[in-house]
Amino acid sequence: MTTRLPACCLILFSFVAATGRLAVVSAAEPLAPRIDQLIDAGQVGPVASLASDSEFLRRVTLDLTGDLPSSVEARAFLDDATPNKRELLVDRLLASPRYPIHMANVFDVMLMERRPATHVTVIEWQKYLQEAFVANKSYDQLAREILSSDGVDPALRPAAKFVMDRAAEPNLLARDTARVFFGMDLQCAQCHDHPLVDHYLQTDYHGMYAFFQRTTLFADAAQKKSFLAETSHGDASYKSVFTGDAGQTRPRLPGENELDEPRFRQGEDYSVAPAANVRSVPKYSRRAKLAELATNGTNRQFNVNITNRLWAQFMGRGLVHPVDLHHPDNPPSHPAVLDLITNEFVAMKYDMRWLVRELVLTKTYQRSIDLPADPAPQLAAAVQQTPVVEAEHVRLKGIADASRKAADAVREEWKAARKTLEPAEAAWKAAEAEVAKIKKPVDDALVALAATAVATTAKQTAITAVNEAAAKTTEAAKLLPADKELAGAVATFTAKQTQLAMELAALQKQATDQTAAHAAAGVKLTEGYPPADAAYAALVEAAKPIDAARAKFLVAWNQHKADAALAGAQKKKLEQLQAHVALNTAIASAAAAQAAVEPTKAELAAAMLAVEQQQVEVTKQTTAVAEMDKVMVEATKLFDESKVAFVAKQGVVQSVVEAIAKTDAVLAKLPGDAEITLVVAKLKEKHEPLAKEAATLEQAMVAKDAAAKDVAGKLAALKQTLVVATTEMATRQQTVTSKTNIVNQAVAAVPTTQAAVASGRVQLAELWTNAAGVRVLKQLNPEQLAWAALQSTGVVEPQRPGAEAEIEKTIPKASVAADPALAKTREFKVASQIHEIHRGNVNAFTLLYGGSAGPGQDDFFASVDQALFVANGGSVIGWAGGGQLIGRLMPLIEPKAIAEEMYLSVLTRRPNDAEIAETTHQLTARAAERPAALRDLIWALVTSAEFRFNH
Amino acid sequence: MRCNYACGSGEHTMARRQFLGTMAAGTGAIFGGMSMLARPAISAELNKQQKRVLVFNMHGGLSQLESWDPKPGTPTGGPFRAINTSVPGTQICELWPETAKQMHRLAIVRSVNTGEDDHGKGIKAMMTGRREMPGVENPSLGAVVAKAVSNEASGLPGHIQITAGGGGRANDSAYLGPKYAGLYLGNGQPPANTVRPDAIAAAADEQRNAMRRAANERFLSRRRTAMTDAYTYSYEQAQQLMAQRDIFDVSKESEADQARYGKHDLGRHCLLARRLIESGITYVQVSHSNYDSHNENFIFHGEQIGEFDRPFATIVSDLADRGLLESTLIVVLSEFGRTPNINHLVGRDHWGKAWSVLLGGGRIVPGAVVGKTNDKGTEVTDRQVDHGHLFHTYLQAVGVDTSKSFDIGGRPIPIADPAASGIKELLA
Repeated sequence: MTTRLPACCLILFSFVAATGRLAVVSAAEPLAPRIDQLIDAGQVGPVASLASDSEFLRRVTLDLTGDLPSSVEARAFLDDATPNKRELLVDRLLASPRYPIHMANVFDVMLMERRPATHVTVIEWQKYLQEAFVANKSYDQLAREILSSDGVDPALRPAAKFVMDRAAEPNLLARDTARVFFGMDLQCAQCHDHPLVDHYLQTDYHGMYAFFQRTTLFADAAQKKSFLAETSHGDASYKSVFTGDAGQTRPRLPGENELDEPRFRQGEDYSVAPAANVRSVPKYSRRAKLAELATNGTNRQFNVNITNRLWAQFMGRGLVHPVDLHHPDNPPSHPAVLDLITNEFVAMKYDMRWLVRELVLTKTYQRSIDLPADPAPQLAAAVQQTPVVEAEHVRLKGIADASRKAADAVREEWKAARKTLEPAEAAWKAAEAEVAKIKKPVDDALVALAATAVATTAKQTAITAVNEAAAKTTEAAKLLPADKELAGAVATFTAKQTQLAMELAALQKQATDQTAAHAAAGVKLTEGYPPADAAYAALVEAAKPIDAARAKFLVAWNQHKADAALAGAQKKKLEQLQAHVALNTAIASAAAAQAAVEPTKAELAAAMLAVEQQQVEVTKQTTAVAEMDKVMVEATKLFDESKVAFVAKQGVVQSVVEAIAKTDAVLAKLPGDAEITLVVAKLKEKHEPLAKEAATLEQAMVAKDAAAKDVAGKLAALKQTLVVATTEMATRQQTVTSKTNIVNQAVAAVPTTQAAVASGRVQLAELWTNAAGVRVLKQLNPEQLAWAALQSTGVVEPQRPGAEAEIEKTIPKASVAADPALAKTREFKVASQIHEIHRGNVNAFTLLYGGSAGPGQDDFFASVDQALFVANGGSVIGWAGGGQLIGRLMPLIEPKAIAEEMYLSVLTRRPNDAEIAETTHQLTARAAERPAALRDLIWALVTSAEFRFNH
Repeated sequence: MRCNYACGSGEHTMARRQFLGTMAAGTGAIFGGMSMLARPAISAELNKQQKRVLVFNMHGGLSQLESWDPKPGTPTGGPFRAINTSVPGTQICELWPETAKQMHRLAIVRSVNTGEDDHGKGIKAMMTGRREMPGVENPSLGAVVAKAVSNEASGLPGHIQITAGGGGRANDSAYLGPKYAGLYLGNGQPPANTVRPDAIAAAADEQRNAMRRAANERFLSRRRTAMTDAYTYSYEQAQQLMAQRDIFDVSKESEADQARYGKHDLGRHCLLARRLIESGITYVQVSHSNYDSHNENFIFHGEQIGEFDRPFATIVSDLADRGLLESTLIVVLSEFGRTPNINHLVGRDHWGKAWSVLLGGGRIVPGAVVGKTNDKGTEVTDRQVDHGHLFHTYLQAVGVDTSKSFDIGGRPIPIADPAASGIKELLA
């Protein structure tokens, strides 16, 4: 056996040292406050207040036991004034028998992702996991067992489920191991470098694949069971369907170099060589090597994967999220926290109970789900910080881009170097093929020997049987010497014995010959080794520059990944800040919009006042015009009357004048006529006063006319004033219209800007949640939901006596009185028994609420099937109507007491006044059907969003 | 009935749209488009635009020679004649006299080569549009259609399988999640838990739901997310489904229709399929068993097709008469075809190399015939396609852009195999 030098080690360690991943840590100080310090230091946004006692109790009980506290426990905890009662509660729950049962469920789903059981039953597997958590088996040990078990050792057979129930399919195992144990979903890197994740290379996939490629399922016909077998040869080769780049890779762990593997000569490479119906066991197992190297504390990706997954399990979201997409462009929300918990966890020798305890004691875990108010200082600070962070991001991105270029260049060098290996590789392969040819007689001889051995054994068995029969027959012949038939039989047996002895001798001779042939072939094989050994040595020599090139690439690549991670983290921070700035801007816009409303309203009011004032003026002027109109009418009337009087008088005067003229004419024809002369005189006498009267009337008429003209002038002036006033009025009304528009615009701007604020808040709520400042609202997983429904309605405890009785058969209560450890074991067994009793009930939930087999078990979905099951399926209604809870409620009289018992049992909190009032109302309204009313009250709480999400 | 915090008013719709828009940009880890909440009621117009897919799975492997690609008078042709159809120049096997009259509404692909002769692998390839890869589960056509085409606001299941027996949910939706898994109506039975139990009176049911909503409102005033919306909405959808439970009851169809489809199981299943399609179910698949005729191929196909031809032709004609064919894709497929060679038991064996699929409706060009096989039917000679091309074609026929991806927990996964594409000449 020759061993290749582990040339990669120095490089690896220098990388580790450079990035401080394995800095010396001290576990003396409790971890929880250190996590909180780091979270606080990195907090961009505000943090939620700590959850109330009831919320904490519900949360931590569900998270540590997968179950709800009883109303008795809830009351006791809520009313307990002990300052450190939360810590005491955590320790109680960690010591509870439900802790291992729940953690086994969690790890079952995490590792098997609800795949159907094929070789290891769920019960065997969960029992194995439960025992691991009872004993607080370290995670490295657990992972080692799971990755390396071949299913032979009964104690470790369940651990082989991970591989066996994936049918030992190497692609599936490469993919799931990379995801589940290393947090990298490499699926898309099987046929080419990952198209969407820059940092997942095809060689990463095939490096993982190589660990599993030699493992197969072996069905043992005799035992009617399958185990895992492994061969000693087979290498992972790849060819990119995009670039055509092709090569071979030995196994490699994420971030590390290809393994330096021992070489065994053909014929010396198996502990148990492959043959028909034989489970082959190589001297060097790649799968065992994976288990060993992944868990030895040095592979960072293995370590951060589990701490991140445990963090996600308890915090509701991974520091790296999704938990199987660790890569530089998806950096952790808090890189320093991930480093801290990972380093400490490794220093604490992968102690899961310790880490879980520290995690649930952090303030981060205890945050409320209630969103904090807008944090003005943080928003303002974000505005200040953004340019600095942005500049830093640009700088870091520049560094990452540069190191990417450098890494790509080195990668090309490595690819080019790889080609130079081809002759040495071909020569070695040819040499090995030659050895295989020489080895064939050895194998054939072994097969033949085995066949001879089988034949020999059969022959010996026959000889023994014949010998026994012959002895008996000889004895009988002695007793009955005259019996010919017996004598004949003795002769026959004797002949047979002789024949068989000869045949056996022949077989033995054959065996000797075959052994000699085998030995001879073996010698030949030994003679055949040196050329292959030499070819291999030459290959190793030829590979040195390539190994060096690959190592160089790995250093450059890891450097780039580290750079990219820094840039990615900075980008994340920048995006957070930008969201805060955006909200700040939106709030300012909303405030400005809101503030803008009042001044515009004031302007509108002023304009409206001006209109009102002008209205007064217009009214005044209108009145004046009207009055003047009246005066005008009067003056016109007076003029008209005087005119009429004058015209009438004028007419009379005219008649008199005409009469005088006509009489004068008559007098001229009748000169001196006395009568006529008298008439003329009289007429002339009449004319004088009449003419005077007419002149007076005319004067009066002229006066009235002047008066009327005067009034008309005044009226015209007044009307002009009115026109001016009306015009002003129109102007002012226009101003009101335009001001009204402005007000409307200002008012309309408010909801738009407020919507921007609301959407900014939603975005920030998510960011704060992702940044661990606010508790994630996450659903109960299917098992938690089932157990919470069972426990709250009170159908778990009735199973206890039966479970107790069952366990009493093996561990009597009397036997544990003086043995606390045994008492604990007994307690666990009872809890486990109850768990099994309810498996069917729980399965009904996992079928509906669990994801399809495969990745994504933590993703949320709500379906009509679920709602129909809860609404109309028998289970939940039956439990609500027939469990111990309703049994406790029935005798209670006060609605307040009923509400309290119900809310404590189902929602782990006391009801508020509105809830008490609602309960009272329901019970009063449905007094005639009290059991149904209580059942429906319980049902409504169990189906509420609070029950489904709050913990 | 809607919960009172989701009254469907414009204001809520607006706020929620913005809210969900933000959510979509952030957490991707929520199955099911949440756009449902932004839509108020399903209008008749929407219902008309709703696309549907109706698949007939000829379980066991329908012989292309006894159906869509007859080769009468050749050594491989078998005893049956070819008959004229409503499409001039297109002939099919004489076992399909009724379907022959509907061929102007349908199209044939005669050049399918999936190269898969195993029942399990064959049907998986045909139903997922991808060849099986170890460790990779892909969602079936029904799940993909339900996810990509369904109206999320509807309480009705998007993906229904009508089979001779069984019930419950299939496990065929892979990463799309159980919501889109096939709901089996074993022998036409309605889905589970759709009847209110006797113990809960109607009034009590209303009251308990009102209490549930009130409890939700109290809690959601503290914190509300897309998840809580999806959860509370699922109960409202459940009630919608219960209210429409009759759509699963084929006995509600007229006596005349029941007689037209035939009172045998397949007739009932086809009539139920029509009822479901008319009720707005997105994907309905009817299985007809069994065409795996390794012996007595001609007798078996005669019997099976004798049962299938009339109800199938009836549903094609009914959907056309109702104006639904434009929005409904119909596919008749199998896991593979059958060997041109007739074996010594007068049977035909598994044959994935050169066989046919029938389809029509949606964007499919009526009367089209794509691809050819040689005279004996042993090789594809023109326009060879496989399950990948067909899968793209089905989806494109109902308006799905198959170059897009689903967002699964933040990871984009292509809707259909990016290495394949739709059969352009089949798509109008």
